[in-house]
Amino acid sequence: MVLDFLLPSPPKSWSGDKFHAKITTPTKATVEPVGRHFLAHARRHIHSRTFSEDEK
Amino acid sequence: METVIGINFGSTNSSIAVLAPNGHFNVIANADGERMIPSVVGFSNDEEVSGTQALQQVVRNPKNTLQGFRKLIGKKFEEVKASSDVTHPDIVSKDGIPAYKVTFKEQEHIFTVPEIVTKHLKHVHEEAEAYLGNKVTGAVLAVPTYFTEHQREVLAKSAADAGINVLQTIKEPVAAALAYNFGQNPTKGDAQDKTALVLDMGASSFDVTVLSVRSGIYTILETAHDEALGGEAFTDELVQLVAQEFKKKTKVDVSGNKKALLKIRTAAEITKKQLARSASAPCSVESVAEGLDYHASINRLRFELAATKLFAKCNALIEHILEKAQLTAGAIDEILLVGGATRMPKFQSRIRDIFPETPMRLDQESDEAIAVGCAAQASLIAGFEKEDIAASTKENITVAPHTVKPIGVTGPNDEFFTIIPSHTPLPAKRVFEFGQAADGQTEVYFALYEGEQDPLPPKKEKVEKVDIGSDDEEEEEEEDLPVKPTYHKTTLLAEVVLKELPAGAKAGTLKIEATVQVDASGKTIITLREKKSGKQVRAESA
Ligand SMILES: Nc1ncnc2c1ncn2[C@@H]1O[C@H](COP(=O)(O)OP(=O)(O)OP(=O)(O)O)[C@@H](O)[C@H]1O
Ligand SMILES: [Mg+2]
Repeated sequence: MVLDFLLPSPPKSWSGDKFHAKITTPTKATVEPVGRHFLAHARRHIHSRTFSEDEK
Repeated sequence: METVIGINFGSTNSSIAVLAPNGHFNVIANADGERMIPSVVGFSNDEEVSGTQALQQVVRNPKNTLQGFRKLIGKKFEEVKASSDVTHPDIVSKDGIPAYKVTFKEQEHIFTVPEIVTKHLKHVHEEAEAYLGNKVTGAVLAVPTYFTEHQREVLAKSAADAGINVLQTIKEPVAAALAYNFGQNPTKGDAQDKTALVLDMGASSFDVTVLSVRSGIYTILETAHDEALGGEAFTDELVQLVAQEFKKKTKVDVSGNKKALLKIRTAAEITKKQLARSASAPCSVESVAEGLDYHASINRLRFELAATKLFAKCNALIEHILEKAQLTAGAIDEILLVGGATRMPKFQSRIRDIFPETPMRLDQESDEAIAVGCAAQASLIAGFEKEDIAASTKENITVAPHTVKPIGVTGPNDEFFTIIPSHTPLPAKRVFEFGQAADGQTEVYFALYEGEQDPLPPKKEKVEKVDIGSDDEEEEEEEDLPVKPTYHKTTLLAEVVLKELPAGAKAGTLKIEATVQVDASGKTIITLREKKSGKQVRAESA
């Protein structure tokens, strides 16, 4: 997806790449075990692969 | 050769679908061309009958015609309200579970609910093999969302006893979503993160499900169902209407006459279906009572008026589920119609009152969607080992952390663009592309935020429109479209700058790919890469 806005130059406030906060703690929910993409998810899980390994 | 099928075992109708050589899914028809197999088992003299044949004897032999047994699967006898009378078979307890007492071969027989389910599914399975001309090697079955694990197991056991190799049982609205191919083709550039409202009105209940899809994976956000709101309830309204007219014409009151009402109901069911297609339809019942017939034409508008309350209740259930899911009507991207009774034009037009412009999917025959979705899943897993299929449905695989808030970026006017929405199962990865803002700009700044939904504009008091079918088009007021939810940034998660971009590029011409990944623990990784030079920068959270 191409977002229809453009990346600016760094603002004055920027002082080096930095993570300021973590995302809100994820909650557990059940995904439905159907479809191609779930199967890929299950395979990744079963073989504890990461995304980049899976794409090879 | 693997031949796998999808089975929709509804409380009223069952259907079977299979992947055809042309890549489409076909719903199997029997020798008479019927695609729906009534979920009915009957006993007539010394013959056991199924499906259409069994349904045909219901008026003549109601005590030995068994319907609605799916509802009783996995239930204890005490939990079952047995309405035993002249038009219903006797239900007794056998080892604490409900069983039917029927007369067969001039003897009384007791068949438990699982035994009847087995007989029915065996018939369904045989129809599939007769149509396909070869052995069926496996099947995926659909179950309602409210089925307990125990009910699923009892159903799977009954199916196994019928000789069916059950590969998996999946939830009905999820099967329907697969049939509609809802969000199943995500690409690197378009994850198809969407939310659907699945409306399934079968014969005996109205089941509503809010389903989100994130990169092809489904999560049910909310479900609700009402067992007083099914196609049968609508047929009942028509039965009342006919009974009243019959009384007016003949002075014979059939309101307490169960046999007469059963006859009317059989005719009214046909009339109701025809009314979905035409503005009026005939209704004929021979010898309703005291040898008197009923023949009339029924107007669709009259039927709709008689069922006004039921239609209103459907909408109320939808409003209720949206509220429970904390979603606005505008947050629903697609409406998927499932179940035969959603064919009623008034049902659809009333849904339009809540969702004036939301795409309403009708590209599947609504009562076939579940079977088609089951067949799609069956063909997907056909080649797998049974242990692997079972392993993939275990909690350690299906229970996943999900994002709580949307993660995204902000534009020049501070508007929030979602990259990873809430309710996204983790790990997740999204890839977006941006240009650079100014000519000759050699550094780009990327800030990632968490967002929160903006407060909704206050609801206007709705003036209840009295629907009398007036064709006063001019008075039609401008509809308020449901607002798509918007978001604002709340927490700055990270700032990253990609430097040393190729010099002298015109604004917007560089292609900068931003990859945002969140792993199962919530750890976030950002990668920015300028595509031509391959220049990149990476940052990750603690
Ligand atoms: N054209 C139509 N117009 C109105 N109602 C229809 C039409 N076609 C089918 N129906 C109704 O749909 C219902 C059957 O739908 P469906 O086959 O989806 O039910 P089911 O899945 O067996 O039942 P349930 O979901 O309650 O278990 C019946 O009540 C029938 O009258
Ligand atoms: Mg159904």
